[in-house]
Amino acid sequence: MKRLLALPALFVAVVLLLQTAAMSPSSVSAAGPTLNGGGSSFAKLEIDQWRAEVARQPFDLRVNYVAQGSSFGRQQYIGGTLDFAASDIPFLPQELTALQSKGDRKNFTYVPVSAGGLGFMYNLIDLNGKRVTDLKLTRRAVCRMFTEPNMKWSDAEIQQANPKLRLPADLVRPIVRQDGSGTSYVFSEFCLTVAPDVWGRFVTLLTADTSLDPAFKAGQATSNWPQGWGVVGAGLAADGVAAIVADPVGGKNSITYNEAGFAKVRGFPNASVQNASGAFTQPTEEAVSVALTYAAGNPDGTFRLNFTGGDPKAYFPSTYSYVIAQTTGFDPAKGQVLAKFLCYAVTKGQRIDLTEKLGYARLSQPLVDLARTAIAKIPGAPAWEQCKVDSAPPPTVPPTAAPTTTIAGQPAATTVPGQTTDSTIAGGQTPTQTSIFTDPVTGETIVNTVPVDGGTQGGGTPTACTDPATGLEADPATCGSSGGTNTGGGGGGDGGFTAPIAENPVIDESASGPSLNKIVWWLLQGAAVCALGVALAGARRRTS
Amino acid sequence: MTLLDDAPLADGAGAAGGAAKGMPEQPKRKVRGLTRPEWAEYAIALVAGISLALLLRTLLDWDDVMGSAIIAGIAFIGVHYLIVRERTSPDVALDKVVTTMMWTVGAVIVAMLLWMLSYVAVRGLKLLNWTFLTTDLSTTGSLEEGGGALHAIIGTAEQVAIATMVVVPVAVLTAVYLHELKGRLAGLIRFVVDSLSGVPSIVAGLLIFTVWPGYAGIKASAALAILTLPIVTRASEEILRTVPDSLREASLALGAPQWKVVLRVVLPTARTGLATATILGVARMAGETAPALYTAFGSASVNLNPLNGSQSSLPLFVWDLIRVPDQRQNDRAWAGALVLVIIVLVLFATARWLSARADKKLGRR
Amino acid sequence: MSAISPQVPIRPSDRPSRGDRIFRGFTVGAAMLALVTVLVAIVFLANEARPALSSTGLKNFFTTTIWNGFIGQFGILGVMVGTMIIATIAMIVAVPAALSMALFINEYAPRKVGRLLTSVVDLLAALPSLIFGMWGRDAFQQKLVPVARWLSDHLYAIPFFRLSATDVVLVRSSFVVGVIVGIMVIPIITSIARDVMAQAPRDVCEAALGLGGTRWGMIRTVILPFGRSGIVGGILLAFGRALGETIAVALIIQLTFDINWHVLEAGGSSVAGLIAVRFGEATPLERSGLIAAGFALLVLTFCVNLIARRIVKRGQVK
Repeated sequence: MKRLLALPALFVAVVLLLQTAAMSPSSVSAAGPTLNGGGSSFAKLEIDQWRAEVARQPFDLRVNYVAQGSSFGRQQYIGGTLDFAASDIPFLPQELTALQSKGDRKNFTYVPVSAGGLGFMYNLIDLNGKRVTDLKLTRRAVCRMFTEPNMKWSDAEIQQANPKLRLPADLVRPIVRQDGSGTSYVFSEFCLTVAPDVWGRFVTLLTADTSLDPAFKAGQATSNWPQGWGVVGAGLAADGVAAIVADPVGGKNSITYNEAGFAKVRGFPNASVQNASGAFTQPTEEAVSVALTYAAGNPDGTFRLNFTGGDPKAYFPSTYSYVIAQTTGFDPAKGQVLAKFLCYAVTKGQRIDLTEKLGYARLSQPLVDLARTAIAKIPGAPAWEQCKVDSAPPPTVPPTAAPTTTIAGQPAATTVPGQTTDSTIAGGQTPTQTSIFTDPVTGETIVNTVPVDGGTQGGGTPTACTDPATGLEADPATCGSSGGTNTGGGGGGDGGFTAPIAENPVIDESASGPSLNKIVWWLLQGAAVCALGVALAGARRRTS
Repeated sequence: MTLLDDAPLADGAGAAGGAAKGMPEQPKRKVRGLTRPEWAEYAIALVAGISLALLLRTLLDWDDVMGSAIIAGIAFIGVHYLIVRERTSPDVALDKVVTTMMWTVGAVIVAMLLWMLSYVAVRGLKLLNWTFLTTDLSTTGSLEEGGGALHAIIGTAEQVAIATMVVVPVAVLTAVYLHELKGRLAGLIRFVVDSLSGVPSIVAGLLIFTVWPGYAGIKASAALAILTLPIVTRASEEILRTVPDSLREASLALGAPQWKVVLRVVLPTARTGLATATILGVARMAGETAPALYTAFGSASVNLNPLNGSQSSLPLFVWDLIRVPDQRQNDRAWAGALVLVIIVLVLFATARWLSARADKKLGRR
Repeated sequence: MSAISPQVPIRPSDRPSRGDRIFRGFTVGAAMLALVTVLVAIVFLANEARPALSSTGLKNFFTTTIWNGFIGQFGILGVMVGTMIIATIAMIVAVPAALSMALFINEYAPRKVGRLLTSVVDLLAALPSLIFGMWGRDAFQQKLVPVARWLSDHLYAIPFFRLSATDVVLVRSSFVVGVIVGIMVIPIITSIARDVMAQAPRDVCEAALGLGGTRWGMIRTVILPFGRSGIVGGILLAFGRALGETIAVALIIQLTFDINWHVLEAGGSSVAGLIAVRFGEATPLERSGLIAAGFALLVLTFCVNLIARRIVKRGQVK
């Protein structure tokens, strides 16, 4: 009998416990509601980093991002279950049609946030038995490799660009994306622009295949790269194609197109691709940024990549991601959070040390300007001057000036210790690097030590403090000062951070999400309810 | 002659064996373990097998380790068979061979499990510490150190708790309907429960996704409930079956209404069994990834509210991070996996302990 | 045996008391929940699957391997066959192992070993498939490469073990996934087999032993024939479970839409794995196709389960 009552008591206790949980807000934040976003897996690393940075002081914004695919993000935006979506490509025509019946959601804007080079990762052993790591490819050759059935590595066009290499006479094995992908789309766009004859031959070659994307048949760019011809191989998702190429046995003689970071992670080389000026460039952060300065806005808010920019430093082709944000009928409180987040993303989020570590490229000035106009359309968005968080200025047009501005602030900053007590210092002056990163490729830890760094400075001055949630050293400037009005610190690697002075091992309540107090309170309440339940059960037994 | 080697679990099989015909010289000996001649047989066969494999290896100049191992294994079994056949009879020899193979299979499976658990432990211990259990990932960027799985642990706890509170009463009542009341629809319901038990986990998630779009922990609970309902129902029915009918008859004969009989006699008697079934159901739910994929959605920060907003769960946390080609994220995933395994092991041990206690009480075994 | 339990009410002529009626209402309500869930599942999934089915055509849906969201063609032949291949490999691994375990625990093992093995098998059933998948991906599949290599070198008489080329990848294959899923379903077969084998009439067993037979002889002549239908049912149940396995498959396999008969080579497919991996990137039409595939899988596992339960039940009645 006693036991029989204990069970319902437990039941009631758990219900009450969940009740208290259900009444608590979705997430604890001082600065507005929590945003749910999702989509592009390409942009995941970067968005994830920004999300974490704006969750700290002084921003204290709560943004959730789950990378379940671009298309998923767009679908969920249409369905109204996400506050914003990130996508590698704009809405498809049929999606735009579907949006028309969705009320205010049909009014949206594209905010470019993330960019990266489209690398050509390859796995090739030359006739001397050595791995080739310095392959150079002309734009035509690249397109031919992915469209011609019988292309050999010893092809004249490849050999000419690599006079020193002894290339094998084996067939090139292109690995393409089996699923629809933004990378396929951009690459086909690239080939259409730089080698229309090669592309035309490709379309003719596959003219009999009825299962292909109608856009491809019509001679347009396609997200679904045609398969089933020659020795072409296919893999699902970015990591899938990279895994095929990286395989020591099956990957021999293969090449694939992918976000440049994937080759880096797997320790394989990306080919250098010739640009319009004739120079061979690698898809480095800088080269892609320079290339993206040629991008121009479309009336619908998307942007058009120009693959023929003349700067010798530029690398083509590149990929990019947008955030899709609603412009009318959106809760201004949420809009404010979203706008602040995006402002951060396109300004401080584009600092060179971060994009480089994560394998992305910085947005160029034209793209930042596009983003700025787009962000202003979000309901509740603060003025640009109030929400931007400066770091080094983005590469600007004319592109010839870009390389210098890209590197400008970096060494200068490291020579000005102790000058970071001010808030909102304009770019170029204070990129104080205090983050510790582990290089994803080599696994070695890179500590960006700057003289002002509290962590290396040791005790003494009341500037040393550590972000308890992340274990990162925080910017001493914002640490020591009352950083409430600080809109981003002077470009510290982990964003500004406001915490009690000196070593404070207690988990910071606002910065690390779950407040300890809250949890303890919650547990106590739960225990009380449990006790009450048991007591009630006991009482009933005695009376019955 | 091997009948008395060891006392088998199934009673009777060994006891009634006695000395087999055709082996009159069979001496009385201890019940368990092997006799010295038997050890010798095994040893000789083993040596013969290995040496044969080595001989072939050197003679034919093989470089095929696995082939040699297979040959050694076959040779061992063959030689052993021949020796035993020589000493006793073909039937006994065959029995010996089967015994050897079964021991091998058992050892392989145990080894496999140990390997898996230790692998998870080794990879997971790298990051598993107090911080991991008490922080979330809300302020930890993709390539930064630190952070933890608190949000995922809370999510799993809430989702599983809600699902359990729905599933257990429904499952027990269904089992009562099926076994105690034997309603007119019992056949249909049993059929339906059976068909539910065939639902692949991803389809359960898809179903909730289409029926109840949007993200919240409780939607993952719903998908988990669909998956576990048939399991707990069937287990409960089995347990009700073990309640002696004499108990029911006695109470009914005393004039108790049936609901009282079920609530006061049948269910209390089956209490431990039901608890065991529940705990195993909880363990199953805690580890399910697919139902949460498109329902709870996942999140990087603690969300205490299961009714609103996306929420993470331990399997989802692991699934998200294990597929990223980045060492740090993978380490987090393994630590999360270790937490998951520990939870499952604790639940499993509890269930074992409960059922062992119940067995002792009922004087079984 | 359940027939013994008494039917209410005790006073046959009377209507059941109010308490009983309320109680009965509760239980019926609970039981109906399962029914409602199944009906909702069928209606909603069928509804969601309709656009893809109508754009593909029912015949093409089952008979082609083309999977293309752009032209609205969704053929599940490839993934269905792939699912079957994985499940079949799983059975080839699981059935001998699981039956040996069942016999070993029931008949051979010393009591302590038997207890240990029972725990081990139950624990295998309790561990999440995610853990199997991670372990399989990062630890186990590398160990299977030499096995696959050996099979292809020495058993090339079996067409499935042939390789399409000498330099192919031997991980992320149907074989690897099949073996891992096989380990996962061992507990299902073992527990059912143990149950039916334990029901074998002990007196007949003892008689067989008493006549001088060995234990193996007793198993072969009494226990196996007695438990046959139950064992077959258990195997089918495990087969159903293997068909629906999602996470372990999705983690390991390199998905493809074509039928890959070279089971040792990278590339295979599974409906559940396909849904888990593709659902995020799918267009609305393709999503409908994935739901249609999931629905087809549901129907398939349902049929397998149903047949299995029937067979098990028949075995138990005997």
